[in-house]
Amino acid sequence: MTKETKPKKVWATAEFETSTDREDICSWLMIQCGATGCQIEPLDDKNIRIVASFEKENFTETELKNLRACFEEYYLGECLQTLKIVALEEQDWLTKWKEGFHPFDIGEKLQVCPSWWMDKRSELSPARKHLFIDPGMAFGTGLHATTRYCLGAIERIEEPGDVVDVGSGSGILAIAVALLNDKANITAVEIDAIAVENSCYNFKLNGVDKRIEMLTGELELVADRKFDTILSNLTCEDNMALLPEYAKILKPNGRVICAGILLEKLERLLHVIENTGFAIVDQDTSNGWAGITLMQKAGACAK
Amino acid sequence: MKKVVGKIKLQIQAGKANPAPPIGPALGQHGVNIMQFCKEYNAKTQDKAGTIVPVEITVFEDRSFDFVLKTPPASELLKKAANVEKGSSHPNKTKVGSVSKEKITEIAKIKMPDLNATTIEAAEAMVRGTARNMGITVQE
Repeated sequence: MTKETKPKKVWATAEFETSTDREDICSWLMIQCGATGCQIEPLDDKNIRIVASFEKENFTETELKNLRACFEEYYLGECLQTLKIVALEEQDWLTKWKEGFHPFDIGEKLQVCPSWWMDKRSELSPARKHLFIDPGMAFGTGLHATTRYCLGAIERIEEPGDVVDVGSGSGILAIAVALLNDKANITAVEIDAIAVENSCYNFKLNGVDKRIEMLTGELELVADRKFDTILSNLTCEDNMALLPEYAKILKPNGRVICAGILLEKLERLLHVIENTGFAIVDQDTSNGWAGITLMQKAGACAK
Repeated sequence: MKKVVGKIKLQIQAGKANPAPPIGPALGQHGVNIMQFCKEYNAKTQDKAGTIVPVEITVFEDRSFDFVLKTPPASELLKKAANVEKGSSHPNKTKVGSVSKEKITEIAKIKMPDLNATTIEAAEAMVRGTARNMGITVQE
């Protein structure tokens, strides 16, 4: 299975040298001028190179003039004496990391495998379902504690019913539901276009693309539907914001699997859980992260 | 103890880390799991959304990593203290706001761990310099 080739994206980087004491203000100014961020490279004890990335292919003469004018207005014009604009072509920046990504077991039933192991199925564990993932530029390889919790929780559900995966990322959770449950009716919702592309690729890779409905956009796309299982591997803040919405789209006796919660922030989420009528029915912590499963109070059984 | 093979310093926006430049190429060359870094950085900084939270990442020989969040730029803290949207576009002509000298001391104390300054006075002088650059006056 090959991916469609499309033109590579190009970023423009603005590189210049300055003194260490100007790192903060020069980086801040670059970000005010539209940079997505800056990398700081030390040159010696007193000097650094700042490499600011811009989401555009190049600078026009006018844009460059405006950038210089902005620095001059902050008495920092001399910092740009060494300014160079360099084009940076998109690459698979994960190439080097992928060399160390091998199949691994999760729970009792799943084995998560990198996509390049498709041809080596005979070497994989025969007793487990194989979940193939192309670890593209989307969240969810199964290696992180939060995704591991979700995969374990999915495995323990006997009948997931109507499922929505909110912020599906690589699609790993939706795929796990499809592989483990023939009858589950699965919808994935994702706002990020790169993640949607990655999800769809991974759905096909696992032969479950016909079983998962992929929606691009916010949760409101499913606001008029009801679900038995909501998967929410996001951040603590996202979960806090979305729990009231989940309360509206969850069927009686349904469950919400929440992860991506830093332990230090769990306390804040507990207040929202209480206020939205949910109760925790399962909880696990690993490496400073918490994963929890919630049910609405009437149907919740204390652990 | 694991051997350190690289240190990467980035100035990026809280809660918005993604694998595009500068993060992708900076971490990719060291074989770091970029998405894992983004997830952890965003989880730790999402409540500071709208500000810049610099980060220093240490990469070990087994490609694992650790990171430390740094203090926001003084310009960011001054902007908040003076209650202005941004600095003056013409700081030598227009003063956009002012801060008390106590605020300068407060910001200097916050910034102290990340500044190349050995005394609070030296740190205050750096913060005052940034304020001048931005067109923010200090009330003495």
